Amino acid sequence: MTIELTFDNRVNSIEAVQKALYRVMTNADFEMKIDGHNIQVTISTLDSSVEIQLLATELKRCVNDYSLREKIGAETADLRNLILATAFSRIIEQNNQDDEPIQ
Amino acid sequence: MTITKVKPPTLKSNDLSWLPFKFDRLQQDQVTISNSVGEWLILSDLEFDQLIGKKFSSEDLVRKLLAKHFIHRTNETTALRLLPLKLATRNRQLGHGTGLHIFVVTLRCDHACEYCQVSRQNSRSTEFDMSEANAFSALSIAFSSPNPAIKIEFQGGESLLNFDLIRFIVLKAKELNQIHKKNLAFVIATNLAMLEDHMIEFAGEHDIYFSTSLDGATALHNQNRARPGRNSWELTIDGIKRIRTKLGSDRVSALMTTTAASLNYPEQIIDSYVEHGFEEIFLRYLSPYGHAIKTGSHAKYDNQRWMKFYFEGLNYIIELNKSGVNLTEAMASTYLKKMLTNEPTTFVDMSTPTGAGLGALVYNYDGDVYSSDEGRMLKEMGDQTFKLGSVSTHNYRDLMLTDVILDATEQSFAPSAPMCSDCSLEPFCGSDATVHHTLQGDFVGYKPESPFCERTMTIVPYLMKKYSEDEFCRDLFTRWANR
Repeated sequence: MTIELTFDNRVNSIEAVQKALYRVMTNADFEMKIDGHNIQVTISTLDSSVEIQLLATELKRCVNDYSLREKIGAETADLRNLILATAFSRIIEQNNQDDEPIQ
Repeated sequence: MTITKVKPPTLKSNDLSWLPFKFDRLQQDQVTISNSVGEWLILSDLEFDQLIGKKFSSEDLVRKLLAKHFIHRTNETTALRLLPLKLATRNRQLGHGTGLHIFVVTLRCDHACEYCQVSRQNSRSTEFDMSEANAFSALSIAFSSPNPAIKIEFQGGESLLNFDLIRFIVLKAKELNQIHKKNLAFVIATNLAMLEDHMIEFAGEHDIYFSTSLDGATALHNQNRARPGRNSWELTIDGIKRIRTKLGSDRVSALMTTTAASLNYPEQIIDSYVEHGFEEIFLRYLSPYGHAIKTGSHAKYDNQRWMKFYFEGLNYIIELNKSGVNLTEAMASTYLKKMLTNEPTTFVDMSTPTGAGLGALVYNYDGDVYSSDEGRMLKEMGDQTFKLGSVSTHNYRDLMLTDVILDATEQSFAPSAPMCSDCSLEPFCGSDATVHHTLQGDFVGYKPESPFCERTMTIVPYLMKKYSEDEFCRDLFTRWANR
């Protein structure tokens, strides 16, 4: 069985589609092509039409979730970097105070 | 004096901003959210929509999200000061250096266990014993680790077959520690069949703990752990009793190994631990190494079958606790520590980046050094990927700067690994570079087909659900997390 899905790259990034494919396509083959604004995904499996439809539905849901994660990531990127930088500089500072140098 | 009652500030949605968080739809109509400091919540779809839209109809939801640092008031910095502190606490072990140092004092063993991961040797072949010179060099490396706490674990083969070397290492380590002043601990991993009274006395004098194998009741244990006389279980139980009588009940712990033969008997296995006075059991999965691969015992059951066994066992342990028995399941406890506290894990397999090398070093009987016990087992199967060097030619710095340590560390940092980087369960998971290398050919692994990933994706949501819905489990899990 084969099914084709098209995503608009103005709505869903290539990375979001790739991440969703990585996560969902464990038991199917897929091909991805870019045509203008369209990200075309062809899924092939040996399974029944019902199962491939479920897979397509799962992929679309997963792509949307990855797009949402991108949005959250972009909006909180500065805070995340601040938190990581402060935390790890604290660890380094603490180790410099506590530990003997490596011999 | 007039007391003015201050009205709490009204929570306006437009004052609230997201803090970094991850989410997954792990259950029907529910969304699990988490952040890098291990805070988590299970939201309904409706609540999640409010979080995404930042338009809240419930003050309770806003307060929960604020308390767990998923959102913050835009004009306040409290969360931005607390989050780095918590993150630093959770990761403070990263700079400590290696804490666990495993000395393989001999490959000789009197047992011929079906699942043995270590390619045992005949119990009279002393060519497979570690020399005093190699042991001393290994101690020098161990004491060069900047970690203020050093645990020395003796393994085999059957470690007690080379007890003279154990004695040598303990005495030398204590001598070296006069200078280094580390928090020093010793553990002998042993089947206890060769345990003699003078060994118990020595252990008593030097605060040495014993870790043994107990696979369940007599028949199952003796089937899994064959030895001449078919009396492994009897000797193990006898050894446990003698240690407890002379040193106290806390001086011996036990590990069980799950085999195909174990899978139908979770309750009987657990009962045997309770019967013999243990307060912890680790319902372990079988590692894909050594004789486990050669004999096909790893392939005899898959991850899903093991998880059925695990959940039957876990639920039985919860029921036992409800009836007043004090028994902890160790894997659940490891996950819960990550879910409910800011304490870093001490379990090498569940560390991220990988605990191989950073968490543990293994000094083989021949002086070769490995980044993990599993790395040594792979060498016995012909794969030397995790061999770091030799005690005679490498110091601690050399070993820590080998390509395999640097590559495995970089690639196994879960927050930047494929799929893990977006996974809401990543803060509660680990990163086992050795097992992914073994099963999937690289340090990262392909997570959608990784048994390691599947275990976390199944067990953690179950623990979250139990914790959220069952008051008894909430108290029990809190205790398990803080052990």
